[in-house]
Amino acid sequence: MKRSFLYIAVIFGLLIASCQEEVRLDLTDGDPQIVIEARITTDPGPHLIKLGLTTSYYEESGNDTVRNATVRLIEKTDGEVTLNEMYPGYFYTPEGFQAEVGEEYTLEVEYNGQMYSATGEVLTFPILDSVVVRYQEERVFREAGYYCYFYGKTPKGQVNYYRWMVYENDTLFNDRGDYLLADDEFVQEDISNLELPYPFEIGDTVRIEQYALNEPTYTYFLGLVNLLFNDGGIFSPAPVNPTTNIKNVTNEGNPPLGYFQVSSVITETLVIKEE
Amino acid sequence: MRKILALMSLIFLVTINLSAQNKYTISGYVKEASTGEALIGASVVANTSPPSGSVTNNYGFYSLTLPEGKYEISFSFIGFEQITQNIELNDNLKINIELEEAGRELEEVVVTGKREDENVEDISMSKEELSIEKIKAMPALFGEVDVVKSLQMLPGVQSAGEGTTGLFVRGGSYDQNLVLLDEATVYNASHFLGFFSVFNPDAVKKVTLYKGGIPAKYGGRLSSVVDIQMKEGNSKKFSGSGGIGTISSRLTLEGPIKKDVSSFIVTARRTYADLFLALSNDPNISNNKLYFYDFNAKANYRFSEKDQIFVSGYFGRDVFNFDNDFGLKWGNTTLTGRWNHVFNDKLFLNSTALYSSFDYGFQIDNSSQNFEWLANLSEVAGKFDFTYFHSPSVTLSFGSHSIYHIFSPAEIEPLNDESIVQSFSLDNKYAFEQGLYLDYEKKVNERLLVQAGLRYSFFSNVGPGDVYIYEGGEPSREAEIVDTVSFSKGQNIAFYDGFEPRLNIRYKLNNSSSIKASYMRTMQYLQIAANSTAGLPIDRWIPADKYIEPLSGNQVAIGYFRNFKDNTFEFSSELYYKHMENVIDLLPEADVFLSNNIEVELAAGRGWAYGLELQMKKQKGATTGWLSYTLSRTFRQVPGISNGDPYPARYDRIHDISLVLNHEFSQRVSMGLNFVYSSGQAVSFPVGRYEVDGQSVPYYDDNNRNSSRMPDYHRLDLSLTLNSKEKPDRKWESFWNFSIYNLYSRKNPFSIEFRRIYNNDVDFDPQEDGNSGEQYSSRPASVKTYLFGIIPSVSYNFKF
Repeated sequence: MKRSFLYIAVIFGLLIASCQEEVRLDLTDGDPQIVIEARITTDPGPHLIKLGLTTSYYEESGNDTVRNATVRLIEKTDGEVTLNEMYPGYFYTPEGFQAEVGEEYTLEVEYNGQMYSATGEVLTFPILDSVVVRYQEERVFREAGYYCYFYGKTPKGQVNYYRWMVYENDTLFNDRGDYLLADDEFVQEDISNLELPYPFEIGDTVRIEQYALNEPTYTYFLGLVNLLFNDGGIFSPAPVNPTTNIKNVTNEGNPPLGYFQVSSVITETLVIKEE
Repeated sequence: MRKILALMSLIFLVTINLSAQNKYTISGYVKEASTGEALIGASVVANTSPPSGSVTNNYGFYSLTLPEGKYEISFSFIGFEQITQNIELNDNLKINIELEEAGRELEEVVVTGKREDENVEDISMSKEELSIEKIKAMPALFGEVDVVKSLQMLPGVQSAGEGTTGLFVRGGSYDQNLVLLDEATVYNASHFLGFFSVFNPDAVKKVTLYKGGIPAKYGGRLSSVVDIQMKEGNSKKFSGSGGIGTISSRLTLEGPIKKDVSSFIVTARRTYADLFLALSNDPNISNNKLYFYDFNAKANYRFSEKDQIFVSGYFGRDVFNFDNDFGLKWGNTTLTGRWNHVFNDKLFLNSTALYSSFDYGFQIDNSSQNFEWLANLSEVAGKFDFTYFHSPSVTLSFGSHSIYHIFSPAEIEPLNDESIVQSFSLDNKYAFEQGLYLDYEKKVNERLLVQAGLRYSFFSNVGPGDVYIYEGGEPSREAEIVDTVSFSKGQNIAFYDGFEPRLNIRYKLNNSSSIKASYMRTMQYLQIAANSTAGLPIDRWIPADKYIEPLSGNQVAIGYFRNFKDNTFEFSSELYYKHMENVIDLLPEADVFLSNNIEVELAAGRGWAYGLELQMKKQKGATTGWLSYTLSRTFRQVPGISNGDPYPARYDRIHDISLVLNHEFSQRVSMGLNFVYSSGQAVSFPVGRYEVDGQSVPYYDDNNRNSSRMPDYHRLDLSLTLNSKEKPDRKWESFWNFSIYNLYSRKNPFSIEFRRIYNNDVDFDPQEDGNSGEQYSSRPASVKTYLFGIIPSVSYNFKF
């Protein structure tokens, strides 16, 4: 629901984004900042905890490498999880490692004299009953094709936060418009006929993953999407870094970039066939 | 409260006890001879030594009290033939005057709608008046004459960005302007996302902008007043006017209902971009709707010399529909009922009943994700404005303004049973606002004129409503809600009040120059919670309540004013400093639209602005116009934003130059020119880049908001107006207007986006264009969006 406003903003953007051209600006470089990215789920691992550093804006290579960082992942009941730094800044959990529902995990990163920490709880599995495929003719915002319709439930009594990730033939839809995020605050318990915004063709293999997120993680992704859609213009809010759920314990005013996600996930895979 | 009443009556006593000599009053109305429209600001001067005079009010009424004797009274208004009458004053006298428009000689073609020497003589500083004729003579985007955009050409007034109608006056944001259409508040003065304003130029008579020194009769907004008067309608003969333009067409009909007693005016305007859409064979295009329209109407009736009523209204709507999947609509409605009553020669009362409402709604219909969302904001108000013309040197204005506000931020309904959306609504909020004012204007001597005003206002957020109580008392996102207190209908939830003193002083150095100073304190009890710079129809207005305190502002200004060459040139210079308290800003990722406890999404801080405004105006002759320069800064400081340090507001622009020229080559041909230059707006640019979750993300320094600058903005517009030949018996007059916006096609950046460019092509979208060609490269880049290159347009206008 909240995203419908983004929808409006995007439409406004389309109406006015008549002419564009590239400009090269003389940008100032800030001090490199650490980027922490970790997604620990109930699927069998290895799961990756990735560290990096920001670069100059126009720098084309990826994040700069983080060396000599210490990373710990702590399971509340069972203690520390062994991590293996396979490349500098890339820390892997053991093969087959799975997060457990109800368990609380804490991530601790020490780098350059700063201590970063985040905690998350694995929430119960989302409820997905079925996915139905139907053909749809062309519509204003959608091409013609086979669409997936999601049926499930969302337990009431508290607000739940979800993210869906959709793969077409093992390729993740991963554009800024592909963040399928939702909270169920204004939604009924039975979710039926929820359309996934992708047209598929006969023979496509579709994989849908549904994650149950902690609120701070969800807020992070919302902030990330808002920033990715921020066109820097007068209809956009002032651009700010997404609010991370990772704290800088040493210096609270200097939070890191990135997120720590621990979540349960359910997966549905199907092949698009003739109706 | 009691104190203020005591103070008011004290001032009364002081002024009323002064009269001893035998004095009589001349009063009446000054009107335009051809149409019967009241002339606002016409001067009525007696040949005493020194001359004593009065000025007509918003209804054309004047009152002048003089000792018994013989006088020569002259009635004048720039652009009109002066009328002089010899009178013998030994009793109260009624004189109604109709002034003829001056012959269209080149020197006098411009009707400025004001006195010749107002720049020097008038008490007000920081005040700008534009007649609709002047506005119509300026080149306009798509040829659409726009009242609000023309104000942006004045010093101290800025826009949010190219083509938009929001006003940012001396560092105030766009919700700090009191926009009045025939005294009714207009909450959202924009059409089409702000690219056009809602005021149909054919219905408008006069526009007055106060940037400071706001008279005490206005209240409720911090930074400015935009007071728009609608025409009354021709009371002499039936006539019409209209135009066919690039974007819209307009038609106005006006005439007497009963000659010299009652008249009406109705005017309508509609855009027709969507009519072209309908011609498309592609149903994806032809099923879309995109239009706006306006409708203004006004009528008046004069019962007697003493009583006159006016009824006027505005109704306008914007509609966007994309097939049936998505629809958005919004609009304003205003209604004004006025009764002018002249108690006696000296006391004039205008009583007004007002209604104003703004609503927006949108619907999304995408299989089971379907719902309709409606929001509304409305007010009902009553006003009494008295003017007491005590003597030529003392005028008193006093009155009361009461408003009942209803805020209905959101009501959501699923469109059908299949919808996964629950019906839901945010709590309505209700408030009562009251203002009482007294304005005392005294001419101390020929040099010194003082206007001292006091406004007392209060605001009460009333039930029904719920207030959340937070752990620790202070609302924050982290604090748990420990209790909810419910209030019943009409019960006071939160009460705020304040005194708003206003002071204007004019000191004349000689006949052609003066120094003026002003101070004002203003209170504002409702504001927009928005995180964008420009206004959008979906903006949420929030009242002061238990947690959100009202805005207050203080502004001081001093200025030097000088006229040259028999009032042909007017020079003005002003210095101002303004301070604002309780300016709200949204915290990052704030949920503005669906939050019942919006207090946790906001932070309140302060703002300040200062500047120097210089303007040289030419009022007479074949060439008229102005050149202005503004040097200004605007800052904000809000806890939780930019490390709590001061940062420049997004619309902070250091230098601003505008040149507006109109040249009349002959009675048939005239030309207009606008040039604007402003230094780039303050903006946040990234200080780095990183990758996360497969995305390329710009990295911002959150502790230094708006520390970069957009490139400079400049633009030149031209227009050419060709009038039809004037023939004495010709009923149908017409003129063509050709205008060119952005003559040298400067690509002024509207925004700069930090995103990836694929295949070295800014337009390549890997999602959409993926099929038409493989993506072979990708790199981080900055992409500028510019709205308009050179835009020529033509319109045909007629009068009959």
